[in-house]
Amino acid sequence: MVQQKAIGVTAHNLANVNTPGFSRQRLNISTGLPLAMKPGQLGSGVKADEVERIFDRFLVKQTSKEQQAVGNWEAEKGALERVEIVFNEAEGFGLNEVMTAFWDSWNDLTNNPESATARKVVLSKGEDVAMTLNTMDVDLFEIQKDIDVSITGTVEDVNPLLEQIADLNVKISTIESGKIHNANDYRDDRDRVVKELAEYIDVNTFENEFGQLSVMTGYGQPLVVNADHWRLTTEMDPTSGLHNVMWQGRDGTTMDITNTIEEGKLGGWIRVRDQKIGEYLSELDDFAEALITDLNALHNSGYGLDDSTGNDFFNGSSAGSISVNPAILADFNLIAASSAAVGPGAPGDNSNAVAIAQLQSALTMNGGTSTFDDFYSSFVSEMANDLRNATIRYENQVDKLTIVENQRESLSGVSVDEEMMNLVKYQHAYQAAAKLITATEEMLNALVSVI
Amino acid sequence: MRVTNNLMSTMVSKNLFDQVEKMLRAEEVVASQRKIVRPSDDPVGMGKVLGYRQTLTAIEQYNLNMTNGKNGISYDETVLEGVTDYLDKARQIADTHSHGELEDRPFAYEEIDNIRVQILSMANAQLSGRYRFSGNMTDTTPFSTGGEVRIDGGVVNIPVQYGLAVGATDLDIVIRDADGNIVRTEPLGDGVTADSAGTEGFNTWVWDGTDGLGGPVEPDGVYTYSIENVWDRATVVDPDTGAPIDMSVLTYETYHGDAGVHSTIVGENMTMEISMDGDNLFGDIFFRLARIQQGIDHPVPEDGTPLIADSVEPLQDAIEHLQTERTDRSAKYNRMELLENRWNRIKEDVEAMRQDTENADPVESIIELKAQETAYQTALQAAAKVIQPTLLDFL
Repeated sequence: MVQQKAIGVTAHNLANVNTPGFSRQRLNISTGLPLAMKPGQLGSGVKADEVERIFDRFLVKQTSKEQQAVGNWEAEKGALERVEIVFNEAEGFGLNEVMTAFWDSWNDLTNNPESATARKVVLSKGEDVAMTLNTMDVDLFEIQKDIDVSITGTVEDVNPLLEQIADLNVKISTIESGKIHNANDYRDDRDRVVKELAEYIDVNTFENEFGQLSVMTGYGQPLVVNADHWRLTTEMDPTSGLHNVMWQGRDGTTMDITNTIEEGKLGGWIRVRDQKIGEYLSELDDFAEALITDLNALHNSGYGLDDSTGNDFFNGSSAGSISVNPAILADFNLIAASSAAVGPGAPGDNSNAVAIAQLQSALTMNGGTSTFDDFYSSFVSEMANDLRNATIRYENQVDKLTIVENQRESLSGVSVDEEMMNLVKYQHAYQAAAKLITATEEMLNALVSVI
Repeated sequence: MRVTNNLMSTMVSKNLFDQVEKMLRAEEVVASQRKIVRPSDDPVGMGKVLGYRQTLTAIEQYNLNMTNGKNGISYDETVLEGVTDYLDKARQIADTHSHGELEDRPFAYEEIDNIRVQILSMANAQLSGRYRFSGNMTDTTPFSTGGEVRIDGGVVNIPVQYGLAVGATDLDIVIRDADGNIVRTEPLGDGVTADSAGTEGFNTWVWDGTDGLGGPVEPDGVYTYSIENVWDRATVVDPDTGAPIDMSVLTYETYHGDAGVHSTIVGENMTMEISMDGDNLFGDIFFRLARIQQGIDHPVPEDGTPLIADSVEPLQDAIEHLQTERTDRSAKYNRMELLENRWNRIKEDVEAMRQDTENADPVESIIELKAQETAYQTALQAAAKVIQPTLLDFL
């Protein structure tokens, strides 16, 4: 009987060889209680003690920890890869190209201030600059929104997991309350659910003496305690249009935990959405603002071909709002190539155009220490570095997780070869036991035949 | 270490994926011929590459600017050379007739007149529809006897300038509107005495915008003015001899442009200025030519000779001045050429640096791709061998 049970356990292991997160089980057998008989202690055979689950508690915790970090960096890497596309610099179609073409057009204007062609080109290149800045701004906002959707979706996915854990807690504690049975498969399930949860959000877990697992966020908010579970929701912030992650208490009050989530995919996404992209948007705005202000300051004081002055070249105040002044688009004679020193009536004067063209090498950014071009180059470098950093850390974390998982697999995984050998082992033992019965039966028959 | 089936398949597939990734990267490098396919491949390198690209484009632009500047100087040089030649001829004629030579004066007069017309058209040379020697007022004719004045928003006190040769009397400034109607007639001098004269040389009179008879300021618009013999009062006859005096020698062309320069951007925060100031270049040439004409045409030849002699030295000065200006310009031309060469050398260096950072060596990248392909195939074969056998095959 015991051997049959052992074969049953082996069959269970074999069936689950490919089940993720399965820990192999082993029937612990020991000798039966000896009976006190005349010649001495007589063994009473074998008994099955328990079905033991082979696992290492420490490895499980390690897995959870590494999984959180993997989720974190995976999310950041994915999001930043999309940001990289916005810049599009490797191919040479990004803002860098557009800006150099813009400065070139002003140079051409200095060579031919009265030329209608040169003026039209200045307008066209100016429009390119405005459009590129607008598009980059919009694209970055789009990415923020997309990340937002991922965040809300993930929060939706987290809640059923919490419910499952609470459920499993009840099942496990019920089964193990008698201290006789081990809820092996449920425990595997629960570990698997916790690992999935760790991918999304940072968690700490504790198991009490009844086998119930409590789960808290990294910051300390309870998510599951014994049989109870809480919920996470999202709430839209009216100013930014993006969602905050809220923890919902028993009485329905919510607490904003967005800024406390540090690991897991949620942590990575929140960090990119709020901090990183926020930084990039602000730097892009700084660039646009400085360009608009400095260019307009020169342009305003200059004179156009029609002797008009005081016209802005760019309207707007940020990367999203920058545009070429429609009055100038309508009439390129308003482009102020002539400067105030010379005054109106001198169409051949190019001194203002010269001043504007030389803005390219003027130290306008970073408190007067960098040019426009320098600022943008280091901006791109910074963004690329953020992505490279995330990629390296992601790859590093994946390696670490793989090592831990491999260790777990090595300890708890099912080896078909090993199970086959166990099968043979138990089968032989069963055959031997069956032979015993045959022998006993023959002996009884012999006895009966005498009568 | 205890190795399970899952462990084996996980490790084998991870190693395969790693190998595929390396192979894919090598393929990207070969296909794009660039080491930096995305900014994140080499952030520092990408920053540098952006900088190199900016520098290369800037250098191309400087060279373009300088080509434009050199073309301008070349064109000017042809003009100035012509003017110098004509002036020299005029000087010779004046020289000849300044020593009391009295013959051939009518021929000389024609010649000087011709020279004056030629020099005038050269001084008013245009390139692409814009005057070269008018400073920055490239839509205004540099040299003319009359000119344009503009009333804009009721501005009054517009300066009107004109040049008078010696002995010009009883002439009027006539201001016409755009349709040709006379708006104002202002006599030179005090307009009272029968023989009022303006001052010889360059004169300015200020027009207050009215018609001089107590009327209001004229409406906005463009008005032309000229010096004319309106009331037929001008001395067209020499008082001593009764011989007629040619009107054209009574006035001379004055400069209506400004002292503007044309700046060419030749480098970072570097510009080169070429003067377009016609006044500086041609100075009082027309005044002197007019004087010489007057002298040649004087009814009393002996009185005319000092007028001619007077102008020989100034003409010589003008020629020398032109030569100096021409030398100055050609020096600037040479400087631009030197700069162009320098920029081209720098461009080659920067281009080399950029290629070094950004471009992949074609041979190296293909070898790498081949190596990765081989490694991948080997890994696949190894994986196939390892994954398959289990104990079941043998039981």
